[in-house]
Amino acid sequence: MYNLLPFNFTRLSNSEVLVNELGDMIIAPNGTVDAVVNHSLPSNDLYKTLVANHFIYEGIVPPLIDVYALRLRTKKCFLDDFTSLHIFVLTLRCNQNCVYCQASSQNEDSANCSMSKETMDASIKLMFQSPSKKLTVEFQGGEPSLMLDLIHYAITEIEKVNETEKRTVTYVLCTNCFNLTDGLLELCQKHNVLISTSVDGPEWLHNKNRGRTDSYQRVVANINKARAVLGFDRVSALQTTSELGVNYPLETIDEYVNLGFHSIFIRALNPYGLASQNNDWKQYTERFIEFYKKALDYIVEKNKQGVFFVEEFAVIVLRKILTPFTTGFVDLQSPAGIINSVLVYNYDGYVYASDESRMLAEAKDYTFRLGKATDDYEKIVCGDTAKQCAKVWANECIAGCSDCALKTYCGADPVRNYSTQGDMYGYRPTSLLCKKNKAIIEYIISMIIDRGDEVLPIFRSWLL
Amino acid sequence: MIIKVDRTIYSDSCISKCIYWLSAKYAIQRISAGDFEEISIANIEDENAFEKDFWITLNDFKLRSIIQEETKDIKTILYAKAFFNNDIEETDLTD
Amino acid sequence: MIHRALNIESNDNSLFVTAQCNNKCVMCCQPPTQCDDIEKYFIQNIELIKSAPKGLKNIGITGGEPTLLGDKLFEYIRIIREYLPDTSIHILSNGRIFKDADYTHKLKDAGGEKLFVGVPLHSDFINDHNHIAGAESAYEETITGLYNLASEEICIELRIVINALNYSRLPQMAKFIFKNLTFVSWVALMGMEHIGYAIKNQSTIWIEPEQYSTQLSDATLYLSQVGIPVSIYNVPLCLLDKRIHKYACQSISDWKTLYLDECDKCSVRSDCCGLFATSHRIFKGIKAL
Repeated sequence: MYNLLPFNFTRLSNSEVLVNELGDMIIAPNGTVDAVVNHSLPSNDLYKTLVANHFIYEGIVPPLIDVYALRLRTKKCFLDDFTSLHIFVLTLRCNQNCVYCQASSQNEDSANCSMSKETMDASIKLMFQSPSKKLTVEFQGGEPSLMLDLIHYAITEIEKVNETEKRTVTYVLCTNCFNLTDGLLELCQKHNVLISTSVDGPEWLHNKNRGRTDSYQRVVANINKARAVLGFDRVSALQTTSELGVNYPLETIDEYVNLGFHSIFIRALNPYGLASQNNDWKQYTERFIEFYKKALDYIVEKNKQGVFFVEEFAVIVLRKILTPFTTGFVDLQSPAGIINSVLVYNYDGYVYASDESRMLAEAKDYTFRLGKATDDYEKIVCGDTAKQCAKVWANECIAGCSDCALKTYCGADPVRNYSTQGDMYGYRPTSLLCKKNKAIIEYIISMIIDRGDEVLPIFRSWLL
Repeated sequence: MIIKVDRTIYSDSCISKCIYWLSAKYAIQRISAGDFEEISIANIEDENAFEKDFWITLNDFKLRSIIQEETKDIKTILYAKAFFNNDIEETDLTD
Repeated sequence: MIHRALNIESNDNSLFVTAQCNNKCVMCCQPPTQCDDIEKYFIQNIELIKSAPKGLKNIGITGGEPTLLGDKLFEYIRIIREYLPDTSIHILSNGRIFKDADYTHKLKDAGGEKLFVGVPLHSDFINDHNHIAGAESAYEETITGLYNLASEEICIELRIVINALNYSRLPQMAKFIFKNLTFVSWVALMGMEHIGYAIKNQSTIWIEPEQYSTQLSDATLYLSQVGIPVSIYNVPLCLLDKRIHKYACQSISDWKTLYLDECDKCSVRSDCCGLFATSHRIFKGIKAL
């Protein structure tokens, strides 16, 4: 006789996929859940597996109840330290004109769209009120490299405060690498600044997206220059799948491999800024899912040929499925990453709940504006806006998510719900974010079911 | 089409969850009729396939509801054990 | 139990501290007794420690179950620390007593750094583990004990003795270890010695390495892939899949290693652990590589 522990299930690749609260996953033949629930499971090997993996237990209390509780806490340990990622949007000015720009960028010589030193001072003060021992300072734009003086000022001020605060501070510069000056690289070298840049795919595709004929050449030259000065692995790249790029998964992967990167983060467009003029998000989402699957298959092939190359979104999902650990990735978290893991200090002097939140503000929607940078810390992180978000930021307690077997692997996103569906709670049956995340997570699980022996050693090598 | 569901077998919550996912695509009406509930769904293309899927989905929600019911107490204990912290001040989120 | 002087050249210097045990493992190579032998061994062992060469790398504390000594175990450790400050101490225990966090803390206090505890796990499935350990609550106590050892930051060697009752779940055990016992320093997958209870229970527990080759390979490769250091003890190289040769160790104490005539022709003999000279049965399938 046995008792049940909380778990959920779904059906994939002609199997039942059982997932418990810890994210531990069991692949079992059809009919298993029915037998488990009806207490008619025979004492076979599957029975032992279900007991050992915390799905069922014998006796009054689960023998490993304390282990379970500790592991449950570990899975949510990204909450322990509160906000660790602090994004500073230095300016909206930019030196490129990307077709999919998500940040409503302005011309290089535009006025009144850059952060003042007063705002920077107040933002730094707020950041250091976060209890997190580790702080990641991310400079964004527009194009933050146009604001060398302000970056220099920010780092100097942060270092000054940190002499007494003694936090571990990591700096990231999100730049298009179009114009990396020697002065900027010198600053990066001195303060160990990581460069996060972006390449869209092959030269012709990249140039077309960037609205310039020389973008690719300059970006690649600057990536190599940055690698030479800062160290090869101090430069990473994020990819964005444009409406054109969505047709070229293999070419995109090849480009990243050829540029010497060991990983790619495959990202879909966001429905913000200029990109929201795109009128068929449903169709784009479906094409993106196909793009992702083809790209992931191709990456697995590359690995089989001995090329170590990682897809970062898959890594986040796989870490949740295959390991007892968690991830600090803000877009796939419950409670959501907004406020809990990220705060955005915008050039306009206000603090926002996330990167997407400040992009909404460019369309004059200030729903996720938490307060002024000069406000009290408590008002920012525990204010009315934060409280409204908190009601709907856990997928454990919103319709459509709470009954989803994949919720431990996914996350909640009130900002995206609001921007695409008009309210923070959201409606999962038409949510394209739900559709996309579910499709990708299910695809990864199907790979494990159908081709486990082949893909698991590769996936595990990505998690080390 | 109309699907008759035995309410002594399937709870309101199971049916609601099932219909939640269908409601993006179909207009659905629920009418209670004694121990049964009649669910009428408009404009279905392939009725056979729809009905088959409907019952699978409904049964899966029923299995989930049994699991939830049976594990409610142990789940509370597990989460209490995992997240009990006497150094954290609770913030009231109600308006 | 034979008492040998502690020898700097040997790979096995152990103090046998009691023959008593609170488990009754089905494959135990040193079947427990109930006689009160702790004082007797203590007097002998203290002499051994005092006369041991100062450069001794490693000293074992074994039994029986050393934690049955209670606080006297810490006396041993303090004396070793006094006479052999640089020697690492390797305690073999079933880990059950460490469910007591205070006791575990006292162990850390006495031993400090360079303290290793080797604890056996017989199965990921509670009933199989308890059956093999011959004790009702062994599983919970051992696992709680492992958590307590980990929270004291004591190095743990997790030992799995492969027998007929647990070999089929080796891959599942490996997964269980990664998910639930991630903190162990390394895992030792061990061939069985045919001696003690292993003889008495041979019809139910004996298994040839040839029969568990697949499961052993899967478990070893899995642990390695997820980053948990893994070693194979007591199984000769000729009985292991080539892919896992590099995890095999010279695990058998030098004074009880046996090589067959066939082994003289083997090209990897010098890397091989050989066989237990003390074993009453020799593994099938030994062949020169």
